[in-house]
Amino acid sequence: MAKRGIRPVLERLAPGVRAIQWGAFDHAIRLGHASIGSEHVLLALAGADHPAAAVLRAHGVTPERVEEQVTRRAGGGMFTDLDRTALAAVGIDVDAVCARMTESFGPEALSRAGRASVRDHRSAWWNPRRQYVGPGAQRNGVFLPSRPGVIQCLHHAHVAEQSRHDSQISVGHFALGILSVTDGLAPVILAELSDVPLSALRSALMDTR
Amino acid sequence: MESSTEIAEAASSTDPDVGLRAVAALRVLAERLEILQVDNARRLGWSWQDIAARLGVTKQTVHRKHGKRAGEGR
Repeated sequence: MAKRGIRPVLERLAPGVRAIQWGAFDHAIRLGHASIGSEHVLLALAGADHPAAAVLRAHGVTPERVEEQVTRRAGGGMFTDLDRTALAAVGIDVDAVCARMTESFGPEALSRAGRASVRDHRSAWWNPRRQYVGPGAQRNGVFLPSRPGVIQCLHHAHVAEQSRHDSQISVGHFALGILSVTDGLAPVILAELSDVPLSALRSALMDTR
Repeated sequence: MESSTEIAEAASSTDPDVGLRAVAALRVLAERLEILQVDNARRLGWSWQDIAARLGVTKQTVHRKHGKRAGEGR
């Protein structure tokens, strides 16, 4: 991974966390999306075999429901990396645009456009010379860039680990981390699916070990 | 937790941070929709010239941006 500050963090990931990160990559590939976002991390986390993941599932954040949210909102990857808050401020409801486009053209057409737009030079994580210069994951010759939400989750998990003076970043820290992410679809999906406010979800996760 | 619309309404609509990010996001959205719409038009047999006219750009611009992907041709 590219960021300088991330390196020491990566060396302290529990095996379960690594599995979730690869799970996120696999979900993005399977869904035909052009980048890994916080929504894919949430999907992998929701299905993980760990008490923290069980807490999420107990509050309505299940793999099936997360996947339904992702496929409905992602528009085949076209709409996953838009700044929804900024667009909402000018009255654009990205979900409404996505729903209309899906209805008019079907998910396949949106997937194609999503893959074509990954090299859109206006995307935040491509520089003007159309070269990708950020983090991502690669397996079997396929590389997917990671959007900021993926790194944010890692960062917040690290913060959670530090504040609890633990020696390793566990799935529990990672679950706390995803709750603090602001990029990608995870925040809106969590708000939609959780049967309690996120602060209560955070408390429930803090009580879990 | 608040929805993104509620957060957006709470934020000052005169805050340049929000406003400028909104402009950038609109540009990205417009580029995405352009890809989708141009592909659809080409699939329906529209010429580059007709597509360019609707987009308010030259035929050369549309062909350069979308030619390789949406198929060569007139």
